[in-house]
Amino acid sequence: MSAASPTLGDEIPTFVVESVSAENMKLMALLLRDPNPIHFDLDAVASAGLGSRVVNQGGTTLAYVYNMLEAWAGPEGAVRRVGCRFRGNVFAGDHVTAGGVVTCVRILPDGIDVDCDVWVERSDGVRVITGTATVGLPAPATREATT
Amino acid sequence: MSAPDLDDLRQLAGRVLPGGSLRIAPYEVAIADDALESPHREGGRPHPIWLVIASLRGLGITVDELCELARKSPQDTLLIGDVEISHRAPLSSGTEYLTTARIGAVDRRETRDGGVLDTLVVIVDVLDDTRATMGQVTSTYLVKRAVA
Repeated sequence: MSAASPTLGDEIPTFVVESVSAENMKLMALLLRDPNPIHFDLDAVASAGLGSRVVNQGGTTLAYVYNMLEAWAGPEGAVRRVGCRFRGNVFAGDHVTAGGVVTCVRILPDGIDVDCDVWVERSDGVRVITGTATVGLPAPATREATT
Repeated sequence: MSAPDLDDLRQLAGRVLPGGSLRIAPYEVAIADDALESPHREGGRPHPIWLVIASLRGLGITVDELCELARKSPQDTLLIGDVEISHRAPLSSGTEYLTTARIGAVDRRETRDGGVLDTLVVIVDVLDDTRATMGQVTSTYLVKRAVA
């Protein structure tokens, strides 16, 4: 489903990660220059009292929200802002789902701005990220002309 | 160990951090896309979360140094609370970006269990080589003080 004509209450198609990868956390630790060992060292995870699985970087979990919004908005859309709160951890092997719902649609001279509530939820129902986002979409006439 | 004096901590508000620069290599874009479970974008455009990556790599100080500024003891816990990300224009690979960073508000509140939670807002702007703003990331760090 795309954001062809967004309306209040529309549910954004979810983005699902079946099993969060510990290997990807190592890659992101390098790219983020993040030396925190809870992302790659099980001894450090245990010492921190966080259990027996490495912890996903918050930025990576937040990226799942962007993946959802971009897939919905299509190549002509753009995420303008995201504000969120980190409420819990995602661990290696977790099944997580990014979701969202449209809360406001603003018609502008050069397009449409869509406000959404967004979240990332673990399979146990805990929402580890909650927040809001604004996605810019081209005006319908422009989109029709380019499709 | 008791929490540091709040007036001392508040001296940090407004402090300019060194900032830095960042050039995103095309191979980093590709590796990040895979690690973020994201499809590759047209023209090799970086994932928008690179604005957050730029803000972390472009602080100009390490997280350990930030903890020192916040007078974090080994028994205290550093957490990331809220983040507000504003995108003005998409980033691209191969461009040299500059980052400016500063500390915003510093505050303290008492937690429900009677503990002390200090908040430190860090604001990072990412600019292109013409000094046009590409975006801004405002992160609120939480320092949960150990109970004395």
